[in-house]
Amino acid sequence: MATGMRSEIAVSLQGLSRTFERPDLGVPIRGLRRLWTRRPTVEAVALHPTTFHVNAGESVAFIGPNGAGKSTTIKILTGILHPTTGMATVLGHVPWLDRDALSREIATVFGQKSQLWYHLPARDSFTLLTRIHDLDADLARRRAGALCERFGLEGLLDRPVRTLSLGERMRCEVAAALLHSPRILFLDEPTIGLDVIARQELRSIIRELNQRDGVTVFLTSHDAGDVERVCDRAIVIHTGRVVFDGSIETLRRDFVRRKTISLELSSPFTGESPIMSGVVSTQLTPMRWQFQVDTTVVPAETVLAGLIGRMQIADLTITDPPMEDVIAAIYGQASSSEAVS
Amino acid sequence: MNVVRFTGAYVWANLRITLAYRAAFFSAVLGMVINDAIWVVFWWLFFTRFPSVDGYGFRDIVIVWSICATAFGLAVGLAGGAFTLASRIARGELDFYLVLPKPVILHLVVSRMDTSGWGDALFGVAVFAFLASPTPMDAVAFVGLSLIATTIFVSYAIAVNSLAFWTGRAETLSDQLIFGLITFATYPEKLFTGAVKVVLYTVVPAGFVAYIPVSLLHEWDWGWALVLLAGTIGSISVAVTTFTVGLRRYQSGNLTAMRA
Repeated sequence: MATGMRSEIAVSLQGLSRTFERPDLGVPIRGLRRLWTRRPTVEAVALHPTTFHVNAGESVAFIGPNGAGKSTTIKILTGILHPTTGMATVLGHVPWLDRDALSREIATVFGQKSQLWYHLPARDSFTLLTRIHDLDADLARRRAGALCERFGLEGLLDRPVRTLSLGERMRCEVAAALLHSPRILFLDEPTIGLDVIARQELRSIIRELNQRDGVTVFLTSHDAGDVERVCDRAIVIHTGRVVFDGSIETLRRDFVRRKTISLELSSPFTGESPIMSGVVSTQLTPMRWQFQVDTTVVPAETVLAGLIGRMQIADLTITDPPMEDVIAAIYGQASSSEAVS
Repeated sequence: MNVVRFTGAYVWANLRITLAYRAAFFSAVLGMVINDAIWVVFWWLFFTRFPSVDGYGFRDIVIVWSICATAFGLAVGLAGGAFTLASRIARGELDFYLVLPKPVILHLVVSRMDTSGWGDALFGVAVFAFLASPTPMDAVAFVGLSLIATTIFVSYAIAVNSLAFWTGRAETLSDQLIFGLITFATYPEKLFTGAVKVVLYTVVPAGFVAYIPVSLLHEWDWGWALVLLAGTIGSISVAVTTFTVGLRRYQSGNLTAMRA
């Protein structure tokens, strides 16, 4: 377990798996036989037996390439799909058996599926959700008012949803999902399609919900910014298996074994460009150099020791690779292993 | 009580959406009234030439049409989601309802409204009031029997559309079965005998939608009323069971979707 400080387990998976049957298109059935011949089926694994836990109050990024099993997992945890084997509990409920009770304690936001009524103002969706969740009307009105103020929805609630921008609509989506004060927020690619400003706004809203209100956040996204700015912990899934479970810092530091050493010199370096195995050096200006170090070949400390002896260094920084590179590396590994298999 | 308020909230939301496009709503209603009226005119012409078909007269056909049109109109007008279920299952569109409280089938059924249904219902009530010469007791029976027929229509639509959980695509099959039910229900029962009659009280329950209600409006019989009640409970049970068992096979989907 990575960064969870509270002891209450909010989400628990024990050997959870899901397979689908699909027609085997590789078996040729020609002519009219297609009409009465039942095509053999093959089993497609969407999720291999998976085990992990999420503590209450954590903010977890669940990441992996397309087809890795992220959406399948989130759909099982929210009661949408039944698993093939294994067990899961969310806030003590078995999602696919206790859907009604669970749905009163969790909220789900799908970036690609709206939960607002397209032709109605968002306020009408709020009213309908009040009835669906059996909320007290006065309490729900106060809660909606508070969410409206917090998410800056003034002037938006009375416009038909179809007239809102994507960013405005997503803020309304999250507000609507929070109307019943859920303890866990499941987000499936919530920032997809949003512009930079709308993304930043939504990320800060989710982050604040986690840190100020203690709402457990379970997020899937392909966006490195979502992972870095919203979550403390990452679970990486790859072809249906968990391949990393740890803090975001550890993910960035350990998943891609590369460091960047940036140097500001006090006097120009006129010698031969330093050549070391596993190091790519770049002169940015006469006074600024950058070295990409593959730490599986040579430790960063060794490279640094060699540079200190040869250059007049005024300032230096050592940085881990950006999250974009980490995620690209994860996805790259997935692609290459698929190619091999 | 919560379920009633919840259903009312859905119907109210659907009405607001409908009335946001008034021209489309009124033209759909008017079009359906004209469509239904053409059939009644056809039967009027038929019975002016052949006054009775095995004891069936024009008033009987008027009652059949009024109950069927009212019941089908209310079914698609209030519970239109039941009739579009197959395509929503095939497209993996149940996700949103599965993460909400309350029975998912109730969400799905009341979440859609087919505006043309209000034309059917309006036509059915008007035809009964003006052409069937009802007594006050007939009117009470008509309301009750229409509501029962509505329940059977909705249950049947749920059951046949739920076949999509097994077949993947069931829109065509379910549409054909529902149109078959309407077609058989709007013809005189005495045209059908033997095995066909068995089918009309089981696989295509036109007997429960039209034949028994018409005979009860002719002459009330507690025995047939109980058969109708049993048929209604049976159809609800079949619908709920088919949907619930099928839901375990639901495969979801990742289509981008708006709740239009």
